[in-house]
Amino acid sequence: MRKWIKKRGFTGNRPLYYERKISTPLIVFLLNFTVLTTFLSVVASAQEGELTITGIVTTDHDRNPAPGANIIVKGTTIGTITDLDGKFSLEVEQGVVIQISFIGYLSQEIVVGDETNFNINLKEDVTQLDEVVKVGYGTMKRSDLTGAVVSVSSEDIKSSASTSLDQALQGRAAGVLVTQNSGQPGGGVTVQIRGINTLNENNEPLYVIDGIPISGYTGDNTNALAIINPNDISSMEVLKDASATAIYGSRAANGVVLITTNRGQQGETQISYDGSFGIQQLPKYVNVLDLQEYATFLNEREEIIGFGSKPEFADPSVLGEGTNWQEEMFQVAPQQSHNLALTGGNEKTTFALSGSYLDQDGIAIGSYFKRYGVRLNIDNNTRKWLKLGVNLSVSRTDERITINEYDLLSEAIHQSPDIPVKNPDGSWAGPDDVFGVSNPVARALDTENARKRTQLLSNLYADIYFLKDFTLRSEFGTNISYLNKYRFEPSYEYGKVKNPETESSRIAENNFDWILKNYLTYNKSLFERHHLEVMLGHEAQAGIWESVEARRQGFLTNTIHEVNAGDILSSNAYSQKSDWALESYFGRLNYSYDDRYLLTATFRADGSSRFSPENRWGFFPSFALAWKISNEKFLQDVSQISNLKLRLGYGEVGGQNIPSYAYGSTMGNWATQYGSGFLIANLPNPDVQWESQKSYNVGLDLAMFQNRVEFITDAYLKKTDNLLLVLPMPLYTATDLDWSVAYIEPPAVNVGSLENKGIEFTLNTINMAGEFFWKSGITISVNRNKITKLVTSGSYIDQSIDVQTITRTAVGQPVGQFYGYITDGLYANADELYSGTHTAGAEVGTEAGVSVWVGDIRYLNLDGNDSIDAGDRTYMGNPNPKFSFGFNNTFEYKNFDLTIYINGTYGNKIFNELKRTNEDPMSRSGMLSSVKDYARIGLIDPDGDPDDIYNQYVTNPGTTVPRIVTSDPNVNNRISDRYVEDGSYIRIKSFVLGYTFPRKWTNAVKIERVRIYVNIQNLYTFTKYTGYDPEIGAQRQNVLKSGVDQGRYPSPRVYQFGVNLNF
Amino acid sequence: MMKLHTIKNKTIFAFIILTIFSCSKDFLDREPIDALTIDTYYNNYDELRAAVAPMYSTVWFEYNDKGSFSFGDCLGGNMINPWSYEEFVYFTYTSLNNTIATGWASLYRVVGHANIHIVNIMEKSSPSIPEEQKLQVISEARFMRALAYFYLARLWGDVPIITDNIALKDDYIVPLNRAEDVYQYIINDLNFAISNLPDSDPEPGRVTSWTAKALLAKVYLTFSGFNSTEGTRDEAMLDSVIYYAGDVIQNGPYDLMENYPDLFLTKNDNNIESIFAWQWIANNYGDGNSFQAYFAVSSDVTGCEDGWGGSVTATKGLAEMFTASDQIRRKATYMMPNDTFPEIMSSEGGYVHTGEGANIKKYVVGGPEDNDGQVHTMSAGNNTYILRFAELLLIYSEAILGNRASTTDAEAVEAFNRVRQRAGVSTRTSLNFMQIFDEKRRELALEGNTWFEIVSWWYFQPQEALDYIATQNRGRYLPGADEEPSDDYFSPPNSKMQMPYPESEVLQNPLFNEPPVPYDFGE
Repeated sequence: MRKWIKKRGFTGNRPLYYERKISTPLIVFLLNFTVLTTFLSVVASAQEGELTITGIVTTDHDRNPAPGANIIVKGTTIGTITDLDGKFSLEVEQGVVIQISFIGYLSQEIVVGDETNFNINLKEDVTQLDEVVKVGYGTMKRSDLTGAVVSVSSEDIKSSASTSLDQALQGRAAGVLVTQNSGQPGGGVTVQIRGINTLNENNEPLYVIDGIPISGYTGDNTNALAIINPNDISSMEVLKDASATAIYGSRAANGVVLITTNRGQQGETQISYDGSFGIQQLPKYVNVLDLQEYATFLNEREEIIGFGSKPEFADPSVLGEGTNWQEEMFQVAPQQSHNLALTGGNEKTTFALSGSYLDQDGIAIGSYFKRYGVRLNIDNNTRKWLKLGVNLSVSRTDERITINEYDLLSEAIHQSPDIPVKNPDGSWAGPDDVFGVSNPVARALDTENARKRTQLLSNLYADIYFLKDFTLRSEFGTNISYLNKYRFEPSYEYGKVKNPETESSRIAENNFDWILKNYLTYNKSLFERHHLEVMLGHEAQAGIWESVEARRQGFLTNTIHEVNAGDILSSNAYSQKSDWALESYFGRLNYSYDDRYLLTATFRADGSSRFSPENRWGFFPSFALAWKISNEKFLQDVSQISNLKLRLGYGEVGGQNIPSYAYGSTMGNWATQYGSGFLIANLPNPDVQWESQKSYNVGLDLAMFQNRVEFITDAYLKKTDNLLLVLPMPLYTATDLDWSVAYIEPPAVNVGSLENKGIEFTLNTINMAGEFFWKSGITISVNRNKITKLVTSGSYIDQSIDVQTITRTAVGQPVGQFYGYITDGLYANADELYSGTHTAGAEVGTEAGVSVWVGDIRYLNLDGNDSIDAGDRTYMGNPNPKFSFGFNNTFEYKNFDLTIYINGTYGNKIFNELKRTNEDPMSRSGMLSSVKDYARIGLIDPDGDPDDIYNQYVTNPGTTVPRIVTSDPNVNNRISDRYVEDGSYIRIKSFVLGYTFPRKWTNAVKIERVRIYVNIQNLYTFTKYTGYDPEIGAQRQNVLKSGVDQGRYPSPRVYQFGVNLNF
Repeated sequence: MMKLHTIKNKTIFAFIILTIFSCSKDFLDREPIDALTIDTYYNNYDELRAAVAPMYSTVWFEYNDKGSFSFGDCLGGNMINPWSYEEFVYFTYTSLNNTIATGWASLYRVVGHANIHIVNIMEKSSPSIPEEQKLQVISEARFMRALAYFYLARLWGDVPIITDNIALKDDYIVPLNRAEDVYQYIINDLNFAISNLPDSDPEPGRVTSWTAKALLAKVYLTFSGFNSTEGTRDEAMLDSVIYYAGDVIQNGPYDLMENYPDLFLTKNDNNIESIFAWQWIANNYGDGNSFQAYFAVSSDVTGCEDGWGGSVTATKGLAEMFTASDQIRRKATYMMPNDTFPEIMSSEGGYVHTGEGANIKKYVVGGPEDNDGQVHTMSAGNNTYILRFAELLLIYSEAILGNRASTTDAEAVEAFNRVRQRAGVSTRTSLNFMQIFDEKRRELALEGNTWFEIVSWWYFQPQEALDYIATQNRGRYLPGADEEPSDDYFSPPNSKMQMPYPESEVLQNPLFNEPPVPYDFGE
């Protein structure tokens, strides 16, 4: 436990301030100048004499005690260390300078004047070089790392005030792109480490929580990590390059995030409470037609097409604004969270116990997320040769996801303003037309779609120290979860939209994964300068998943939703079950020479049940070298540089993300007139094998000016071969990616190769270190990906919406670019119309209702043939950003602290599908207000032939919205660049202002520390995007179709008030 | 002390060795535990029959769901909805059309499932199953494949002939095959089915050799005019039609139902007139017939969430087809104001049609209580006719007429008049092509057939068929409206007579832009 500071040389009579001042930046100089002047004035008034000084040393603004900090009288060997509570007592002469230091923190100096009791608060240095960090199957000192590893501290996680820990990663780790796919409480997130590494749906990193692997992939818009309480996390390590991740072999292709939870410390039990209350609101509405505008539009439209308006719209000026469905759907929603934690222990046993509660209502009505959790970590030094411990966490989440599951936000935009929410008698209202949009408010509140999940994570470990230098670690972990899904479709009558059929479904799923690992570590220093560490291990893991569903219709009322209340004759039951297994051997060699040259080599072999016996095993080696240049003689006298390290790495990792039994083929069961009928469910591929990724990394770590400036940069090249993909194929192959009746899932295929290259920068600085403390951190991530090979005959993979191609992934191109037609305004008159080429098969200028006409969109003829057809589609933009960044600033002054965190992306494009569906002038219900700008057709000669196309022209030729026509032969709303928008944004993600009450006030009420804060999340977003929120992500985590906005649940702006208490 | 240490170390090493080798060899063998696989299926005759059971319904669902009426009746000029599918009434569809793509996908899904079952039964089924039983089930699958290709050939013309779907994972870029080869492929499948299917089947609705013969007659009649340069049909093929249709009419188990509207009652599924029909059950989405979901006037009629047909009506052109005496079929096809339908909303004394439009009646069967519970949302239990005896009689007459301007052939006239008599309209003594064409349109309106009759005509007299379309009034028929909607006539270009390939297919397979190639039939 004891940590001693490195001795610094005696400085003689040189003024003390002088030593620190050398070569520090100007700002530090100025700062020290103020310290100096203060010091001089203190010295002037000082008097000689012995006295006993006492004090307490704390760290950071949470002011936890610093046990074992050094207190030394400057220039002497007189000193002491702080006790477990951070307290010290020392006899000194008045007027001396005492130096307080603690590893990982900036040292402080204090002049002893009249004051004898000191509260010393140390600030972390930016590099944390001596910190011990987790690597796979072991730990390492940060300064000894050879791979690209970045840590996110518990402080960062807490200051982000996220409800889920993957959100806390956003912008804080270079090379990690975090995108929230939904602002729904507990909603989904995509995390990409160093770009898109695979084409199959699972691009999520592997999370290892206290040794238990958990996939971030859910395949829907929920979040696999929402179950974890961020307050329990003590650190997250992101392993980015293959030399760091290869030890995780087959599951590491998308990077690995190691998560460590809080552990106990010896000493008096610490009690802490963190609580917050907040309100959330929608930052922005989308502009839609209000009732007057809607009526006016429908009247104008009826004049053109002859039908579709309503008698009550005859005089729009007497109408009010009508229903604003967005205002009805969104609310100001409360959220609260409470965390209570106890840590403590003695020499034998330490523990950490925590309980948490989170209750977040959604800003869209009828959605919420609740989480309850308890965690207990115990470590016991059982014998001299044995240490035992356990991590246990139980948590439960309760969420209602009706809004997302039924796409009600896009329905709220689509519903028309003439429909009231409720009838005068208080019942739900609805459209006067059976074909109308239902009542999204009623649906959100009355249709049940909820989930409750209980998850138990446990990990039991034993460290056995036998023989000198050998440690054997055995771990057994389990991940047990129970998920209940509740659905109830009520009977209703929303105007003419009726549903007399009730249906309830209850699904119970349970999952049991276990992992058993044993690994032996040999750690030895030889001949002073050589240090060797060797690790060898074996691991077996397996899982089984089961589900049971019961379903009935025919409920007499909507009040009781349980299946038992339904018609017994309508009962349906289903059950499913599947299992998997993975067996692995692995090892690592770490060798260092003279603390200057470091070598790491790892290997891993994985056998997976997902592949046929012939293709089962994959082998994943890695090598890395590091050169600590700052420890070379020629740099030892350069005091400005405290660390300079060059890292080189190479590694191979794998991927196995294909459906179970993809090498074979299962039979699906369909209900028929003749009883059960069986059809093939997927096309088999017995040859499918491991995806493999080779990656190269070069990195440089630089720390300067007594660790006040840290600069890290990494450049990498990753090549993935044998890319696994459930291959989208043409429809004539009888396969279909989306569920359709009697569909056949396409085969899982090793489909090609891609590469990612990129560069990352991290700059952490302490700009001011005195009473006014200011630190900042910048991360910038640049990644480019490119498909280098595809074995599909056409060398590309298309994804579609409504069977229209929307993205293309092709050789030589980045993954998942938008693909479609390029528009060039619209035909303003007959001459323009006839001078162009037109949609294949369409008639031109024969009759306004059925042929291409003035006011239709002009598409560019890119292939130069005589019509607009498939050959004229091209790339319309890349949904992946050119770069992403995070910029964090923390200020502290006296008892105040302020953190402003900004993040953003640049250069990514969004396909605004919401606009495509709601800017259609032939819509039967509500529309975006931009539809008012539809191309209006006027007559050149008002007395001429009104049907003559040469007498017609567009009176507002600058518009982008086409003319009104019933049967649109030009397909004006086809997938084109009209709907592609710039998705760049800069977001003030969080703004936190805190105040810590002076200790002398709080001690009086037996509280060690009280901090209160105000946090505003998503304070403002700078963007040109016209939808709700530019952070779109990948629907259901499918990277081939990312950046498509189909009515994403917007992220709320949150005003939060919170308190941290330590007892 | 030393001793204790040694013991401890030994234990630990033993532990390590144990765990390292603890995974037994089959630890990584995880076959599916909740589903049969193609290697564990096809063990006996019952399993073989269960394999082709969904080929009578499920595999056709998405074609039946929208393609069937969009192509057969919207393109055919019988039905109009100004809000949707109107592109088929107006001939404005393009290769981006969703209905075209799902129809195409659904038909190829039928082909795919049939191919896979055929290959698996031949290669993987238990040797203990008698050969004739295997051949019978393979014949059922080949019948379905033939029917799917028959739709594909008539709608798109040149299409790829797919026989091995599993091999497509290695290369799915396949060429188009010539339409005439597709027809030959269909004829081969049906001949195989005729040879290997029994004359009767204990399960109602299952195909028999009679079913295959009847379909082959229709295929030959259509194919007989294909690529004609003289405006005539191939006489040899017409003879085949007469041979097969005559055989079925004289020797088969079929007859006309007495009362035309009874054909469309759920309880009369697989009646004596039904030669082949898709077999639906009211259950989940995909198991049942979704037709009335789109065409019933309101949810009061269906008693379910659906009933979205408020703005769908017959065209004026279809209405012109029914004379004052031809009201039995008319009333079973579309509704006029004040028409009463006692079989719909029966508990409330029947449905009385109000509103201005001539809404759709055929295949609209009412709610669960009108159908012994055999109706759910988008899933009704009434069958979809693909071929019924009345149509076969007309096929027979048409083949006998052949390339002549008119005929008084007794058999032709008799077959024709049986259909007329059942409808309660006057009989004829001589027949010409147009009379038979119109009779088919009336008899089979809204059964997804009219467009295919036009295509069949267009094969040998393209200009006449195009001219006919130009005379079809496709305006909305609103007999109860204050103001009569306008008449609407459309003259599609010749290129619109075949569907465009879905654009996403052309994007993925550039060979769709190349001319078709002959199919290699092997021997």
